[in-house]
Amino acid sequence: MANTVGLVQQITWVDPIVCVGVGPSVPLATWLFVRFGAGDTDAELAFKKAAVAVLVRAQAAGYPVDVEHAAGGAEIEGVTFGEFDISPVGLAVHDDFYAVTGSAIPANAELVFETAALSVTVTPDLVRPHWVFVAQLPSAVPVGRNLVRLEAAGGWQSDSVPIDVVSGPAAVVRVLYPGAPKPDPYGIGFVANPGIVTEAGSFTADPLLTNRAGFHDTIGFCLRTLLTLTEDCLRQGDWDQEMRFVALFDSTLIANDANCLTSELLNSDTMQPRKENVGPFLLRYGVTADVALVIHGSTTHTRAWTWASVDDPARPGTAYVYDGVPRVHGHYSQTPGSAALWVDMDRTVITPLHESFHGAADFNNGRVVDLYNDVMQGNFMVNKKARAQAVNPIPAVFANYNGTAFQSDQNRDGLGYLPGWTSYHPALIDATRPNVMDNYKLIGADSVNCRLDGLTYAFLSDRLRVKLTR
Amino acid sequence: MEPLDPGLRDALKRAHPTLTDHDIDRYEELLARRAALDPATDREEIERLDRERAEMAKRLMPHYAEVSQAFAAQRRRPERQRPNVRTTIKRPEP
Repeated sequence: MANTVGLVQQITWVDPIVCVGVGPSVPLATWLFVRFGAGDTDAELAFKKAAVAVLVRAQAAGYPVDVEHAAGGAEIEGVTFGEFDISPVGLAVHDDFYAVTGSAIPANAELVFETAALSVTVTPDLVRPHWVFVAQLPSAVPVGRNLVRLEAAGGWQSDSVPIDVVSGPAAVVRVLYPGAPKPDPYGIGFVANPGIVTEAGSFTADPLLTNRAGFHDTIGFCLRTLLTLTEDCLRQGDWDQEMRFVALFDSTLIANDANCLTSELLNSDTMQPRKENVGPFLLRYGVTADVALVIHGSTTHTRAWTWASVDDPARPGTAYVYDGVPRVHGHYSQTPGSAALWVDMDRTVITPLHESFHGAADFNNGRVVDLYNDVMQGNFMVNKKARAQAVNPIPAVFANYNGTAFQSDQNRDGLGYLPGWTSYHPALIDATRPNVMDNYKLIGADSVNCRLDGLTYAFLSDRLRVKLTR
Repeated sequence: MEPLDPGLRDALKRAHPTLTDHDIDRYEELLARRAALDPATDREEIERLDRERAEMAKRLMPHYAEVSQAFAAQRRRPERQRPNVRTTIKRPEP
């Protein structure tokens, strides 16, 4: 057997033979063929049809093929194509998201788009070992057929994949990263909020719907915050390659009860997600999420608020024990966690990470709460307990989770428990900075180095693990 | 919930000279207690907390909305910087 490798330059059908030219150009092509015969068995016919179909698709896509044929002969015995070490995600559309997946991608990788006349290099907004993400594909990338590849200093380079770049329109629903190839990978959704319920109770269009660029930029910021900072809970072991990330921006919607995904909180600067609306809204577009980050463009209510997800008790779960009490990490959400995030939120601090951890917890069976106040109200809290009196000593052991004793934070890192507080927290992973769930704003830009406490890290990691493997 | 920005806390105190950190902490506590409740089952308690917070805001921070909006406007993100793009024009192959 011999193999001819190259681009499909030409396909000609002269009944009963399909001739295929494979090589760098038509004059230099090697001519091979598939012959259809009246005596072909069903299996032979199926193979020949499939081989021709693959060659036609490879020619249209510009993918190189590897054609197997007899040594010294030209009759095709097998065709292989599409073996690239990277894979573009979705269409390449100017000003829309653009992503490429792969493996062992260096952190300094750049995207290179190449035509016969131009080479355009784009620095991504996010690089993970399995994913390169650009919040908006620059219009400097020429419309039409391009070869896209990844390159990194030091000589690393991926395969070049042919793609067709178009000028628009940007998609309504865009898969940013597909996640595990199964029906229900753990999902993180980014949603452009169509409408707001005002303090007065009326429905008003969200200004974000006229600010698509802001939505894209905010998602780039959120992804960097979730997946590249010192706190690695979401990306540990490259778990994020099992997660599905989806963005939804529908500028055609009117502000009505079903479409308003946020509401202004009375007498405050805070915007709340309407948690009961978020899941059904996403489902209208065929999107499911475990945590949805609703981006809004209000100019009056700019402070973020999150509702924890509500696990579905009717579906499978994994048992855990907290201080001797048996509980369950649900594998599926009944109501996704939902955060309302301002499109112009402070880019120097870690608000999306803080809010996502609230959202990833369970409202009924294990909340991960704010540590910057002394409030002890509501359902079971994983990361906060209270003494009977503020003068009582903080117990050495905070809690026992699944057989492991987690120590208490005696000092609340460098912030200190305020006089009169009865509440106390689990010991931090890094005691030199505030907990991600505490007042990270007090240290400004250094908050990018904040960590969780060990107990919350273990709890959220277990929750993620059971949902990722459902 | 996003922590109150220390800059906004200062701005609120500047706009309301009699306002104390203790007052702000109490307001924040009412907000946090509301966040812990389920709107589906705790409506009455939420409404009670909202009334108390509204009364507090009216009495101690009548300019809360203007101050917080001005603060947010100052912090508004500048126009987005496009990703770093480098374009090379290649000589056509002969």
